[in-house]
Amino acid sequence: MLEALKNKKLGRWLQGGPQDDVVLSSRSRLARNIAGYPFLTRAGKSQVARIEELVHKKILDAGFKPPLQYYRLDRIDPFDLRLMVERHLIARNHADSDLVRGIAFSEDESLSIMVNEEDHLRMQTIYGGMQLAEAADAVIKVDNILAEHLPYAFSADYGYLTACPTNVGTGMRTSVMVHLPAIMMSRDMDKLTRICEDMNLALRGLYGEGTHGAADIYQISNNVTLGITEQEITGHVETATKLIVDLERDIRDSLKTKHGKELDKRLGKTLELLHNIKSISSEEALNMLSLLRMGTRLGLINELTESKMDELLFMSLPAHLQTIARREADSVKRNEMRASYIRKNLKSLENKNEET
Amino acid sequence: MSEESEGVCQECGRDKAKIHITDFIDGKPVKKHICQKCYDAEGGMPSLSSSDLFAKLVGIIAPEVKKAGRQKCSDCGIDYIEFRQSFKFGCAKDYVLFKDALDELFEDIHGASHHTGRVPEGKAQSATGTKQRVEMLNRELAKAVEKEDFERAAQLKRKIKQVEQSSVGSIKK
Ligand SMILES: [Zn+2]
Ligand SMILES: [Zn+2]
Repeated sequence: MLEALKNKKLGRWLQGGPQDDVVLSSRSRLARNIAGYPFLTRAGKSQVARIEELVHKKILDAGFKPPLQYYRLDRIDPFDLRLMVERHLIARNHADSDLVRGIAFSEDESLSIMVNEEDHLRMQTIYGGMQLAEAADAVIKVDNILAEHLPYAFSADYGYLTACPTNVGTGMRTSVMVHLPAIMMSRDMDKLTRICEDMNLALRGLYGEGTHGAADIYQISNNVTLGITEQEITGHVETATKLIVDLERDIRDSLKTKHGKELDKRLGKTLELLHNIKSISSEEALNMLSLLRMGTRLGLINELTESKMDELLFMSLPAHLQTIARREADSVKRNEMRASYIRKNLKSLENKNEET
Repeated sequence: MSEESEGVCQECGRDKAKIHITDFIDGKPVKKHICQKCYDAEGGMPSLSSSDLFAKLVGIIAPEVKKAGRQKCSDCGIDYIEFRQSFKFGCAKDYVLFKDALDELFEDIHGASHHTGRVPEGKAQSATGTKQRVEMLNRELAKAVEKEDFERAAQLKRKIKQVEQSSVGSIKK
C-alpha cells in the first residue's frame, strides 16, 4: 500500500463541517485541456504519455504549498486505486482506465488533480459539510496557479474546451453529498426531485445500484456548464441544498415527534443486530449505519459520537475495510471482517460512555 | 466507413494506410498515414460499426450533419458523425470546425451557446486574443450591471483596464 494512504487520518472532509447533520461534503471540480494537444479520445499512446509528462512537471513546477504528492496511477497497486476511489481522490473512470495517468493530492486530501482522466486535467477540492463557496474559491485559486504554467484550450465562444460537450464552458462540476434518510423513509421523493429539476441539477445515489442509493447518501450536482458563471453554478447548488436540508430536517423532526416510539424501537433493534452480527454486506451495513447516523443526530441514541459514526460508515466500504485488516479478502471474508469491525467499534464506544 | 486510400502504412510499412490523422509532437501537428491495425494498437478510436444503431443515429442527427458538413478535422481526423456517435470531441479545433451545428446542440444541452464564465489568467491567456477577452469581460460586465451586482461590476472594470493595458505593452514589443 502507498505510504501516503497508510496509517493516517482520514481526509479532512470526513471530519465534518457546517450543517453536517445533512451535508457530508461540498466539492468543486474544473476540467481543463492543454492547447496544442489532441484530447485523450484521439491521442495516441505516445501522445498520452507526453501529456502526462508535461502536466506532471508543471504541477510540480507550480510549487503548491503545502506541496502535493504525485503518483502515476498506471504504476501503482490496483488495491490503492480502489482506496483512492473510496476516498473521493479519483473518479472510478480514472481508476479503471489503462492510460498513462496520474494523481496529485494534498496531505489533507482536500485538493486533488487528476491527470489524463477524460480531460488532460481535472482538479477538485472537497470540504466537510456545507462549504460550497469555499470549495469553489479554492479550486479557482488552483486553476489560476496552473494557468500560469499551462496554456489551456479555450475559445471566446465556448469557454474552456473539454472532450465531452457536457462539460464545455466553465468546465465546472459543483456538488454536495447529502444524507437524506428521513426523506427516503417518508417515501415522498417528489419534493426532492422537483427542487433538483427546477434548478436543473442532477440527483444520484452515491453508493449501490439504482436510484435509491445505499446509506441514503445522494449527490446533487449541476448539469449545465455553458452560458452560466462559476458563481451562478455554485449559487444554484447552494440554494437547492438549503431547501433540501430544510426538508430533511423537517421530516426528521416530525418523525421524532410523531413516530418517536417506533423510531426508538427500530434504532434499538438495529443496534442489537449490529452488536451480534457475524457477517454483513457493505450495502446492508451502509443502510443500518445510515439509520444510526440519523438517530445519533436526533439525539435518540448516544452510543456513538457523531464523527465516529461517519468514520464507521466510511470504513465499511470494501477497500477501506481491507486496509484495517491489512490484507485483501474475498467478499465472504470481507462481510465477516466488516461485522467484527462494527461490533468492536460499537462496543468500544459503549465502554467509553460508561467510563464518562 | 473506410476512406479510399493509397500508399502503405507508415508504422508497419506492410498494410494499406487507411487512416490519415494528425499526430501532435510537442504541440505541433504532424501528418500520419497508418493502417487500421496500427491505429488500433496505438489506442485510437475503434472503427465505426455498421449496426442498425448507427444508421438510427445518423437519421437523428442528419439535420446537424447538414450544418456541420462531412469534412474531417485536419488535426485529429474526426468528422461530425463520429463526434456524435462517441459524443466526444477529438481536439480543440473541432469546436471551430463543427460550429454551425454546435450552437444548436449546446442550446439543447446547456440552454445556451455562449460562454459567460471565467477567462484564463496567466500563461493560458496566450490562447485567447485580447479583443475577444475584452468583449467577453464586457458581456460579463453588462450582466453584472443588469443584476445590480456593483461589486462584481467594479471588479470587472478593473480587469478590463488591466487586459487593455497589458495588450498595449505587448504590442510595443
Ligand atoms: Zn500498419
Ligand atoms: Zn479535431
